Amino acid sequence: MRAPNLSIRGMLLLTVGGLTALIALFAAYDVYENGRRLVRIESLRDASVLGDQIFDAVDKLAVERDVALSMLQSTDKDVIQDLKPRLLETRKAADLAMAATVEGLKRYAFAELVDLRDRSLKRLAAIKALRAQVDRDAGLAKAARDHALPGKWSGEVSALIADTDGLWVAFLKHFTDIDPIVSQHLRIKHLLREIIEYSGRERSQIGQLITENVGPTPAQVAALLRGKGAIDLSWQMSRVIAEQSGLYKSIAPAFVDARSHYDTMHEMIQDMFYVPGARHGAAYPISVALWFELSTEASDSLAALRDATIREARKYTDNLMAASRASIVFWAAVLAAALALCAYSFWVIVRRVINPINRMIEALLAAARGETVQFDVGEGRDDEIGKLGDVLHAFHTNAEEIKTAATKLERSESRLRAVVDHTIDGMITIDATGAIISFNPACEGLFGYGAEEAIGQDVRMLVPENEQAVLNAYFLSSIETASGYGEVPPSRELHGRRKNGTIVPIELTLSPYRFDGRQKFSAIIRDITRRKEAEHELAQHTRALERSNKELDDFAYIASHDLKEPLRGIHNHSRFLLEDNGEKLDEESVGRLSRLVFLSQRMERLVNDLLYFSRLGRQELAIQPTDVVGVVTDIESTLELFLSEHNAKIVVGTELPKIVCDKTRVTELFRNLITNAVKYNDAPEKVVEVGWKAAHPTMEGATARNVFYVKDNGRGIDREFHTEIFRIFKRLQAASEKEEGTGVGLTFVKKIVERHGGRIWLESELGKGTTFYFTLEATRDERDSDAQAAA
Amino acid sequence: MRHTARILLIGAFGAMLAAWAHADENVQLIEQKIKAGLIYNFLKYTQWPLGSRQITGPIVVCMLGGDAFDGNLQPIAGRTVNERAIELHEVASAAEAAPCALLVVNSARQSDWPQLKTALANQSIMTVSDFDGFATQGGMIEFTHEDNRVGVTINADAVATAHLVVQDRLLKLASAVRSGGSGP
Repeated sequence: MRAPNLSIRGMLLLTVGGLTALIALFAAYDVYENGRRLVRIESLRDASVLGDQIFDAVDKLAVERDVALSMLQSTDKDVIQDLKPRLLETRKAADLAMAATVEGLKRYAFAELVDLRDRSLKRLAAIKALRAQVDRDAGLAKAARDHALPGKWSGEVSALIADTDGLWVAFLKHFTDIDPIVSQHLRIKHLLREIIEYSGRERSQIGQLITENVGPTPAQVAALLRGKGAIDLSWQMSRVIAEQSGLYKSIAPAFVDARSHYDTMHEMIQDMFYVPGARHGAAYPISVALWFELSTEASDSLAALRDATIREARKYTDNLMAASRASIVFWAAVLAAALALCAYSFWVIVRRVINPINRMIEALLAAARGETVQFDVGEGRDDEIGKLGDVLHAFHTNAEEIKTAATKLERSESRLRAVVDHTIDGMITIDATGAIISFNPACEGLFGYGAEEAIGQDVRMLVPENEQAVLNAYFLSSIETASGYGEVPPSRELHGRRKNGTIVPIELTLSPYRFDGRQKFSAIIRDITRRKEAEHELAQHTRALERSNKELDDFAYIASHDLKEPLRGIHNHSRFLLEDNGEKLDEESVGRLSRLVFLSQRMERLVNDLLYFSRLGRQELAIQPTDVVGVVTDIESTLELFLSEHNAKIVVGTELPKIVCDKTRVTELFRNLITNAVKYNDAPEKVVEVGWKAAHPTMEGATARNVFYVKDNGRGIDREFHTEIFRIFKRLQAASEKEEGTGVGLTFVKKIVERHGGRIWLESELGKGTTFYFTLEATRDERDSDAQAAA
Repeated sequence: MRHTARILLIGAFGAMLAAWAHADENVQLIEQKIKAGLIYNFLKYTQWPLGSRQITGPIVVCMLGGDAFDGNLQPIAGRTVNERAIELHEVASAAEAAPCALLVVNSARQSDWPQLKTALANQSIMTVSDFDGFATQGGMIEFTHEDNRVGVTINADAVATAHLVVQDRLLKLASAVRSGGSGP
């Protein structure tokens, strides 16, 4: 299963979006948490304020209680009169504080609070009822007062105080888990409340004892001791908790003051109730008025501590709220910044990275489709995209060049393939093991195998088994050649074996080559069936011709040899007849016999010439290095008389070379040409020029090399006879007795030239002399090789 | 068991007899403690003039002529009042009393008082003593003993002369006298 495809843009969007969402979620969560916390702290603060209000109400009640008690216990009218405004004042304050408390509590719907509140309200109602009694009794003489009233009053108000205290505890317990420090603060406040309450009770109790001037009952002593214990413990605990919560530092002066004041006051009176004889002379050693004044003052110190605590605790919650608000603002800012940054990053990445990449992809796709594109993405940029653009541009340029090269290569290859495919020769390539690599259509036609059948097969399957060894040898010599040993072996004629088993003559040319570092061979295979047939035919013709020539030569020899005998008989008998019976015969008969003798002699010459001619064709040439100048000089001396008779001379026109030839025959060749040049010459002064030319045109216009010539200044030969004159027994002039000759001279000349592999032709015009040109071509190589051997 | 209870009863009775014998001493003790507490309150109710040396640093309570409280004033040393620490010094002469905020003159030095008063003139030192006639002789606060109760008499003139301010609440509870005569 493939992973779902996602574009980079998509992935980026997903990643950036995810990260943004994560940051946003985180920040939003923090904002939410802080908001919630803020709300809770606000509620806590409100609750604290209400709690403080409750405490305030309790304190006010306590003051009212104590002031009222003081009035009820005092007998001094002035004192009562003094306290009255204060009583009314504290009563009013207590009522207001209680009303505020009750009103404040209405906001909170905790079930148990409702009960407590209702109970407190009931007690308040009862206290209000008692107030009238207090006012009335305070105006009466001591004896007329209700003695139970102070206790009743004190008990009722104390109960209300206790209930309100309980209300405070019940109310604030709902807020103790919001902040541990705030919870500590609440505990401190509660402990302070304990101190205030118990010291208030102590003050009230002592005031009552002093007023009544009685010793304390054991129950009263126990209550005082319990109060004292509770107060001491509360002092210790509140200090420890205040120190732990960090509040102590800011409330320390008020704390130490209050404690000092309390401790001093307590030490001042404690012995009066526990030590015998305190009421010396039936009286406590301190007036009730002084006591109430001093103890009220001590309460003020406690109140100052309480106020400081409330103030500092409130400062803490305010700071907490401020911190939460700051945190909310901060995280909201972080959230906004994160979102903005993510959006900006996304925008930048899309604009600077993804869009360029997309444009590159489009350009590449267009390039892949073969369209002309301009790779200018990222141009002028020095970053990764710029480099990528440069690289792509370079690649594209390369690709264009490669494409052009590939097109050329393809054309070249297809041209080559067309050549290979359409050549009439078979072409195959073979690897070093003899396996066929390629097999062209001509091969398919030649052997009957398809290329796909042949490729990979051993090439030896294409020859009959009896010639496989030859093929192997050919391969080996080719490999040697390829390895740098030996000469390139020439083509081999072998036989090919077709798929259908028939055999075909072939010419095989192996060419070794190396490709990719491996030895390979190309083989050209030609069907030589027709050539073989032609060769066979030619050989047959040659043999027939040779046989025919031999028979002709044999015939000429036999004929001339056998003809000589009877001819000699005719001659001899004719001559004997003339010599023996010449006188007996008439003149005409003698004439006829003489003619017979002449003709028989001529006949003999003809036969001898024929015999010689046949010998020329049959005898092997006696090849030897020959100096042509010497040959001409010999001829000149031999013909000296003949030349002087004919007033002729031989001129050697150019320097004559040394050649390799049959000297005797070549001498005969020159003599024949020279004597002909003299014989058939009307000029009074006959000149025969013998020479040599490096090159001269033939009659057909081709250029012949190493050409000898013999030139005369005779009557010239008509063009129509230029070929005729070489035929045997052909004489141009009418046979005259004067000119001896059988007409075989030029035939011999031509035969000798041809035996030497050369050719002979002439240039002549009537009245301008004749020049015979000839070559002795066959002797040239021998001359060269001999010359090399001599060197 | 019963034997043990009897011994305890006898022991308790003996202790009661002994306590009774010391009743006078106890009264003395209680009064001294009350006076010590009152001195603490005097410190609280009094304002020393701005610029006086008594307004800064610890608030110094001095005892002239030995401890008139048999050590019962000692506990207030180290405590604070109006957020100032209390120090307790014993001084032998008026010359040593300069840093004092409050000077307790032992009744044994009653005869030296006129000289002391002169020496302390123009100084913001609250003077306290318990010998009869202290307030009328120019002392500021005198502990009195009426109907077996500790009382306080204040010579408001002397207080004013020393540029001290005593809160009304204290004044209301005290008997007022003038120097050289009995109160109104």
